[in-house]
Amino acid sequence: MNGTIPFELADLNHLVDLQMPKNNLNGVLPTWLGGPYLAPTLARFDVSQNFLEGSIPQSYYEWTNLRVLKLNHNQLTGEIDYTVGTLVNLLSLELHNNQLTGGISGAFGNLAQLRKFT
Amino acid sequence: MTMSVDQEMHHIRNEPQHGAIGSSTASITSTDESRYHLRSCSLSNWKYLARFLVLLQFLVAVDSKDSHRNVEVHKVINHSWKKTEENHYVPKIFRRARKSRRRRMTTSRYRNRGHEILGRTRVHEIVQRKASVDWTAGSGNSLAQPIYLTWKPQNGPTRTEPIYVNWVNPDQGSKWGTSSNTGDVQPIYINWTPVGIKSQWGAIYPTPTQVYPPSPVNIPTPPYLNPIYCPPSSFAPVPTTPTVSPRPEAPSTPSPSSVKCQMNADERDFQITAKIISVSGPEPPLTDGTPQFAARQFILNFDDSYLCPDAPNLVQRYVLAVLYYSTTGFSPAEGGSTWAKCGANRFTSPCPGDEERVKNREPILDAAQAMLLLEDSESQSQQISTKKLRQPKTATGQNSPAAALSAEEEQEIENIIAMLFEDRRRQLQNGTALVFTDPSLEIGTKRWLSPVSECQWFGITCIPNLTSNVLSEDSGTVVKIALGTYQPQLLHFIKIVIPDLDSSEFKIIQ
Repeated sequence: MNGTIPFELADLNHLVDLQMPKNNLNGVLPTWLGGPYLAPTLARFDVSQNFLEGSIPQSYYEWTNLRVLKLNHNQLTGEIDYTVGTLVNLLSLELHNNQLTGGISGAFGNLAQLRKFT
Repeated sequence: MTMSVDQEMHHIRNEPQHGAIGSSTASITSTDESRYHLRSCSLSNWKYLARFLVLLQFLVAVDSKDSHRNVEVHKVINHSWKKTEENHYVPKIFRRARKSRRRRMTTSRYRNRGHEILGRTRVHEIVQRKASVDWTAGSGNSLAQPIYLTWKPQNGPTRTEPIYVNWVNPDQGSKWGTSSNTGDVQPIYINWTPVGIKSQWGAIYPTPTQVYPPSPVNIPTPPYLNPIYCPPSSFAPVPTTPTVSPRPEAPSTPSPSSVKCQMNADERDFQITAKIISVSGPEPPLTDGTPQFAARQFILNFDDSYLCPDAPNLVQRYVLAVLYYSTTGFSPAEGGSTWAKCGANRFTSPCPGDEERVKNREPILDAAQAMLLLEDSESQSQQISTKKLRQPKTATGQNSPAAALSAEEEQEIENIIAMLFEDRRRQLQNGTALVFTDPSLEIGTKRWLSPVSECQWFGITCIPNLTSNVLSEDSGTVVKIALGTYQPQLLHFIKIVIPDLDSSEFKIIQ
């Protein structure tokens, strides 16, 4: 599988689990996946080990129901926004092997459920 | 006697005043004759030019009148098809069109403008055009009034044509009948052809390009529906005579849309496109070459499940088709080529279990019928029984994925999922969430774009559609998409949960 992640996935407004790891996906993370769309239900978002570029959209930090976020092994850039602290239900956050910059903000202190952070 | 150039030029310049000069008579005469001839030639040219202009004016007038008459905004429906010398299929009506020189010209122009024949599918693609609409006649609330379509032929001046419409773009449709401002020109996409094919009404479509396959009602049962069907060793030649009967010959045969959707095909197209536009916006679904365009084509024309506009799963089926085309290539002809398994093309992308099905002489579920037709002969020649699952593509460089998850990573994921379930279970006990244990929640294993519920497509998991508290077998709500190279490891322990906490339409099963 190669290509991009279409923003239309946001219209699957009951989507709980999206896993498309270890493919050849490229392009940027679709911004439209955030905000009022997937936020209520999405529990896992795994697009690790692809060739995705750009930064993590701000809207991703609004997925308050998210438990697993795996973006590792891509080519993402930018910083982890301090609003990551709103993902209070997050169990696993894997961002390693990207080109992210910046430090770990105190917002991570809000992630009380976090089991795995790489 | 000779004159220098200066003398001659001087003579010529002074000739009108002084006439011929003594000793230079011969030369002067010669020069005058030349000038006369030149002038005569110019006059002759002007005569020819004038005649030509008159003729041209006549031809333009004729052409203008003819084109004017022939310009129709319409949709071509259910042609019969004729095979040309180039093994292309053209609508049968063009056979009659060749009787006149003009129509022969327009037929040629018609072909050259994008009526591409996609392989052997007899798919007919209409020219795409942009136009603008002047809403001057849009007052009142009646579609019976004409609007004025301004359009520009490829070779010719801009023209304005009053047309009647059945439907317009949704975004303009909301304004239809209320926008009476003169000069309120808005862009609109239409299907357009200069060839005077008769249509019942002019129609403006929200699509620049439409593909209309032959009416499926007149196509014999595809061989792959035969339980003992196996792919042929070579692609069967396209029959000389198209299998589609002319529409007038089968007036009593209702179209699928009229039967299933209780509307004609035009209306179905329009309503479905309107919904698609509400998801993807107006541009991508209407722009050839985008995944959204291909997905729309699939829903409208290729999907054998033939959804109606009010189908509850229309949007999600479209969205999944967009996902498919976004990750495989945009053209239906390329269906499945870049998927390791369960893509639309069963020869390049077999589904797990296909080999067993062949051995057991069970039918192999195909993608939509058009997908099969679009497969090339090389693919056709490959037997699924001997086809091995293609190795998944691996990325290169440092991002190259590992061959398999480590045991630790797998365990970690499993633990997380277990926590998810436990979390949901607790919520269920508190009455705030639902857990579905129904077998229908299993992850789909069928071929993508095949005419089953999209919930059965490979890697998709749905919750049942529980409206009216009835478990529907063929519809549901997508809750999980799992597409990756390590799916087999994950398929076993993922069951899923339904988070629709607030909706009253979902009820607990068991």
